Amino acid sequence: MKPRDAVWITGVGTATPLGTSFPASAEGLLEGRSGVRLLTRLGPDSFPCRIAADLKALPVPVGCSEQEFAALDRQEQLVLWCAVEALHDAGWWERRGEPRLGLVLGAGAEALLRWERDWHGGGRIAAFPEQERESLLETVQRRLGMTGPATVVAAACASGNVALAIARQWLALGWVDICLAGGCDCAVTPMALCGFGNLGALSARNDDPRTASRPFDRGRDGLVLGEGGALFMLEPAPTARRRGARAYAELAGYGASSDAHHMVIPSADPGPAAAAVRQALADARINPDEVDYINAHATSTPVGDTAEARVLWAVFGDALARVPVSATKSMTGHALSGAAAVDAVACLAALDRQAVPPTINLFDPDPECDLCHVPHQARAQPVRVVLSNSFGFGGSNTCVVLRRVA
Amino acid sequence: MPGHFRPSLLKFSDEQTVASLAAVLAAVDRFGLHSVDFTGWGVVSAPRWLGRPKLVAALNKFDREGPAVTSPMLVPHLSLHAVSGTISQILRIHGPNFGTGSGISHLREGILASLTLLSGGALPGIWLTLSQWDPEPPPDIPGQVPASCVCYAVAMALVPMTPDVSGPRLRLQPAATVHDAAAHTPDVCSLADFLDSAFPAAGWLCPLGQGRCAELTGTLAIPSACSSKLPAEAQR
Repeated sequence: MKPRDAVWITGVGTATPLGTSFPASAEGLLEGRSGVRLLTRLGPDSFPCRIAADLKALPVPVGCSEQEFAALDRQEQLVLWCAVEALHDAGWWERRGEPRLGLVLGAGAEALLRWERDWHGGGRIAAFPEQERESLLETVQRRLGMTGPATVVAAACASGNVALAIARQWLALGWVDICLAGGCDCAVTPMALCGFGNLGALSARNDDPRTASRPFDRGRDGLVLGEGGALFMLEPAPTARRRGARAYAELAGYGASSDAHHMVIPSADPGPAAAAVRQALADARINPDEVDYINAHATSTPVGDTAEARVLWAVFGDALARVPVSATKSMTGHALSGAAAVDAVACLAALDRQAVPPTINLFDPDPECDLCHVPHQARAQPVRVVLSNSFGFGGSNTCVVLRRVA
Repeated sequence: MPGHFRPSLLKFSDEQTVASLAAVLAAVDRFGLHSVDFTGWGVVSAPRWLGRPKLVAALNKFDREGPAVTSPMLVPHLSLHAVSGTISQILRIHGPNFGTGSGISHLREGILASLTLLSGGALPGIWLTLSQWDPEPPPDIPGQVPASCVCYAVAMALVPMTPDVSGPRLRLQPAATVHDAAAHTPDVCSLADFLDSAFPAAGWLCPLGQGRCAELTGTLAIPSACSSKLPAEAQR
């Protein structure tokens, strides 16, 4: 690959609360369906928040027996499912051993989640390090016979975007021929529910799960935890063209910055996050008025949604009044380090179906979040360029630009 | 470069976060980097098994006392982004920050990620921190670690290589050109030892897989007047 060659997304493997494939998830997003439900599997009667958009049981991927799959940790199942599906979807499954295949996985708390699930199941890996077994990355690499470079990256809720950027750079440097990248998280666990709950970050609408996640709504009272993720096959455009591959989109631009303000609370100064958005636009060589759709990070927290609206106004100015903005976490919940990848699935759905997915539960738009909303129902319109924001704990701000391939 | 920060910022941090930040601050002091503007730099942190002692304590407490006592600071401060996020906050760095690694391959992943980021050409420099316990601690119920376990961290200020600078160089090499690359199982301690030795016999190697290897060569000649041109500085 030449450094300036475009990078295309030629395959998608995903599992979201709305479905375990790209078509199913896209359908759910454009129908405005909520994946949030009352939790029963954790016995959470004493938890302050008892709702989540968790994943149901995943299908067994090709090349894996039911027994083998059942023996894997939930996070391992999710990553393996997404990787196998992306390879199939891109048409690389049978020939996956031929190219130098890389893997960049956004996963923010792999060890913590594994230790916690093991602990609740009666194990004590966390307290006895000699019991440590192979990592998530090693499991996936071994099962798929991958020999290329692989890494886990973590910028909290922005992890998936960071993964896309690293993978694109690996392609540009010639370190890999093709690369799987994205993010996955299965963090609906007792400690996460309690930790986020005690932080005051979760919605208390236990009695009405489907309307609990209300980004940009005046009545929003916190986020709803979700699970899921996606891995995307990234491939240099010339390679994809030669083999007649389907292109979901070009990964056209990326920007990243840090607030350097607080580990949890977004900066009141829109400057750092706006810088990330501007970088992404410049990287994609487009002007703000060329953006057809913005998938907002908007998690339904009182502070975060308002801060993001300010960021968008700082970057887009008056042009923002004409750019549809939606928050698909109103349907998928917040999948933490899988969130950026799930949001990217929504962006690909917009490009594929030429329609903007809605923000559901937007009953009373917050005047502090004065944006060109798409409430309740998808909006059919030409979509050529989409922008996806993902911001995270640790002050990470990221933005990707995806462009339709003609 | 902020001279002071509130210790309460580290109240909920993991020991590897504290050690990594201490390594960065020590490097700034030792190499006179106080005048360097780090605002536009990036931060990549690669801890090994971050958060083990505190999570064990939290899980025990959860079992005993229930959901209400779970600290809201567990997720923000024990997840993999926590080290780089804390360093970014305290040094007021506005470039990208993220964590990488997490497990046994944290050195390889940290080096790969930082070289990837630096190769993009958009950043003036990157702080790379690598940390681990040695040996890995078996925490007791309150999350205390045995005194025999030591938390190590190395911080390296990486800048793009230019022909006119001296000092250590971190490069990607084909493993075949570097003897014994496959035989090395590097860790943070061996990296710290290498950086502390005045006249290392050979470079420090970290196999990256796929026939590649990262090689660190040169000594830490302390410049009389440090500047942002210094290609790599490190401090245990």
